Amino acid sequence: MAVPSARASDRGVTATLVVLLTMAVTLQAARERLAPPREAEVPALWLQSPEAARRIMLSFSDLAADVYWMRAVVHYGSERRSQGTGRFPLLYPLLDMATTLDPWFDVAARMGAIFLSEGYPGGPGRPDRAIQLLEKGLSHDPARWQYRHDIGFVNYWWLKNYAEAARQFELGSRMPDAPEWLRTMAAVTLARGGDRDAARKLWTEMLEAADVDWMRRAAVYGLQQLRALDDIDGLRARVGRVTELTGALPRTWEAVIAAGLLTSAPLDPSGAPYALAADGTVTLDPTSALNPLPMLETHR
Amino acid sequence: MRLNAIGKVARAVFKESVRDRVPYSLVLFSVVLMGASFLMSRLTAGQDLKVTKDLGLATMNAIGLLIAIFIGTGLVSKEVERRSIYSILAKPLSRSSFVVGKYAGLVLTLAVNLALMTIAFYVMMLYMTWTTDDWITQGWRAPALDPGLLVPIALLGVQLMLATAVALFFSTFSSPLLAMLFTLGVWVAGHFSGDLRNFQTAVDSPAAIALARGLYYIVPNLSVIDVKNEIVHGKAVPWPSVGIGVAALLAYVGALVAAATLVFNRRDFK
Amino acid sequence: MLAIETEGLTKDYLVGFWRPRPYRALDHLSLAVEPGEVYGFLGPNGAGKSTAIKLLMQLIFPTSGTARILGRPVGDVEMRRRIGFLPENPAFYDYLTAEELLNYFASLFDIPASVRAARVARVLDEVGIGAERRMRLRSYSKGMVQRVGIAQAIINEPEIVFFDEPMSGLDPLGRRDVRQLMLRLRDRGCTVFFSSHILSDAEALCSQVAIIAQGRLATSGRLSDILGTEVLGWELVVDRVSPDGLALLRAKARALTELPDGRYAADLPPHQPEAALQELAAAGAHVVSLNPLRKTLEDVFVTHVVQTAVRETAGL
Repeated sequence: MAVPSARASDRGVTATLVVLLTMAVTLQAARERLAPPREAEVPALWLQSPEAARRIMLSFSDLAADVYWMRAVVHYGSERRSQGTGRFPLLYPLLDMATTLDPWFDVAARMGAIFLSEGYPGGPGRPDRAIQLLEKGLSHDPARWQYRHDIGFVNYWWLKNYAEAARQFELGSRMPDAPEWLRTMAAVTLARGGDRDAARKLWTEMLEAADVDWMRRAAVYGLQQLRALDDIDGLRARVGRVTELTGALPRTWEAVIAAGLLTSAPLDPSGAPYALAADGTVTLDPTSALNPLPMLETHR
Repeated sequence: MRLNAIGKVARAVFKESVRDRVPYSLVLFSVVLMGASFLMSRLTAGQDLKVTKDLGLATMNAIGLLIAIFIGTGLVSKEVERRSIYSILAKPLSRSSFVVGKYAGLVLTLAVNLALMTIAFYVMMLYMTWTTDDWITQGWRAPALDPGLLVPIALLGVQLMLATAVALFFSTFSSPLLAMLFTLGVWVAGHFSGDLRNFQTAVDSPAAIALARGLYYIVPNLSVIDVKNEIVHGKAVPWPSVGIGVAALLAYVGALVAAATLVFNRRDFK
Repeated sequence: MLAIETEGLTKDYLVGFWRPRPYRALDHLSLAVEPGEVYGFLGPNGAGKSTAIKLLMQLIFPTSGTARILGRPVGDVEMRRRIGFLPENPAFYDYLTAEELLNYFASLFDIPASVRAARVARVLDEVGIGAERRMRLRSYSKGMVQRVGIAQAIINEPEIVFFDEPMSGLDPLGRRDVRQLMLRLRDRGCTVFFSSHILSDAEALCSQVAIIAQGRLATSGRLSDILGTEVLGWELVVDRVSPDGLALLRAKARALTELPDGRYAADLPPHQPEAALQELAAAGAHVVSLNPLRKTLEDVFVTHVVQTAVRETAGL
């Protein structure tokens, strides 16, 4: 049986506790509204030097690499959604951290190959950085043919350096358990340079070998862009035919449909309509997700 | 020193740890793994398996180290502090047997702990295998239920044996707090030891470089037996280097336990 | 063979942090304890009793001098199979139950498992631990811990037991139980060596004692020799005394005390009290009791302790 006076003082203390806690939370909320902390322009990278980070993490560097990887994924996603900056400022530093902390983290370097090279709005447009990461991976894991493949790919798709691309494919094809088509790729690139069919082959192989979701989606996207190029060629041919038949450039797709050369208004693989310009050129609709299309020729 | 007596003391240490700590660390481990993996899959962009393996191994490392340090530094000092040492040393049991028995008991505790965590870990891997699509699993550089994972876990056991031996040694003559700091210091030094090797790239003075080289040979090298990354990425383990590294660490363990018995044999228990 | 013998056993401690100075906790203690005796090791607090016992248990190491138990040097591990030790204010592993603790200690003596359970039960019965034996030591009172301490000291049926302040923490019933246990041990042929500052226990139990003060042995030997048989006086208690009788008593006695219920206690000088008794009876007094007064252990104790203190301050 508690002494009555003790119980009363207990209640007093409890009441004070509740009041103080409420005050603390209210003050925090008020501070947030009245005097929010200054947000840095660029989100911060806590550790600047990957080598220093590697030392500090002691035996936990693999897990730290995973953390940086996850931050890179989140950063990429949030930059794409905000659609404003388009600069992806932390993507390379985070991937650099991840691949330094875990030198065998090939997936991180390979993600860099695609998403660092991609220009606005899909990425920062830095294929040089992508190659840097891949070469770093190669220095730790020289027999991994995927690195050579990716370096070749970056050269092919974004840098348009077909000689270098062919060289990398060739080096990659010499590695143990490299796939047959890589050697074929080397030969084709060497022979024909920026060939749309060769590019299609590259993306198809990547789609087939893809074991992660984002890689699969990137390959599908690339193939869709190539499809769009084919479609545009086909549509331009039809526009030319209509011009021949009617003697005037068709203004809208209706005219082409009326001429019996199309069944409906054409849509690109992403679902956006193709645009027919006054001078007869066919392009993607500006809002299409497949913009910008790569410049690749078709060899006849 | 008799094996019989050592075994009995070891069993007593194990019993104490079972009544004190083991269940909690296990629960913590399982909760961390389970919770983390559910939260993670959105963020890992397909790297679920690697992250789960890394997290599991890192958690085992952390929990094992905490147990080795916290219980290890109290092994002897707690008995002296609560004065139970008086009655036990009057028994027909040499002081050396007592110290070695305490050490063996803690190693036994760690082994059981690690074994249970490993089982929980593999159960987690099994769950991942069942719930992941085939087109993803075929791309895994190492399988989920990789028996190779037992290698870094066993090597972690060796690391923990060293940490425990260091903790025991300091426990024979210094306070638990100091012993904890020293043990942690040795563990950190063991992981930094690789940097001592390449000191010449950082510093010019030949004396400093010579000292660093000397220290590199003396300080137990823990990073050389760290093969977690190799196993997670399905790469080959550099067995010669690891094997000799383990032998060296076990020699250190023996030396530390011997040193602990030397100190303990001479102590006055006022 | 002597049960316990020490020769010049000395222990110095270094005291002080910056300039450590030696502090002599035990100064050349030489003892000889016969087997089968109850030997009281007596002294005031801080006299060095615990130090001596710890040296015998080799919990601490001597600065000089030797000690032997059952003819073996004190470090001998095998010899410890035949002895038991109860430390002062004992503490054990409080996550264990009394049964588990005794079982553990019994296993250290290599008492085979088949015999162990029965022995543990018997010993716990003997020290008066009942159903609590299955509860963890954490929940035990001080007295119960003391009983467990005694139990673990005798679990191996030792030839010698060393008890350091065995009565501490016990209530009068407990102390009586321990006294009876110590006598039972002696009757079984066990040598009981115990330290205490409670003299009444020593007087009741010991056949030999040693008195130690300020690290030095003040005196040792058979209790009867130390106390002597000399009668120093008589204590006479009478009642129903007439005023004449009272006057007579006052004349004869060295001291007279009035007790309740009209009784008086007189301290008579040592020479034959019969004459005084007859005179008192003639005066109509009724004798309640007549007891001889001899030297008490307390007297001896106080004398020696004071002497030692005096010698100490005189720098001897």
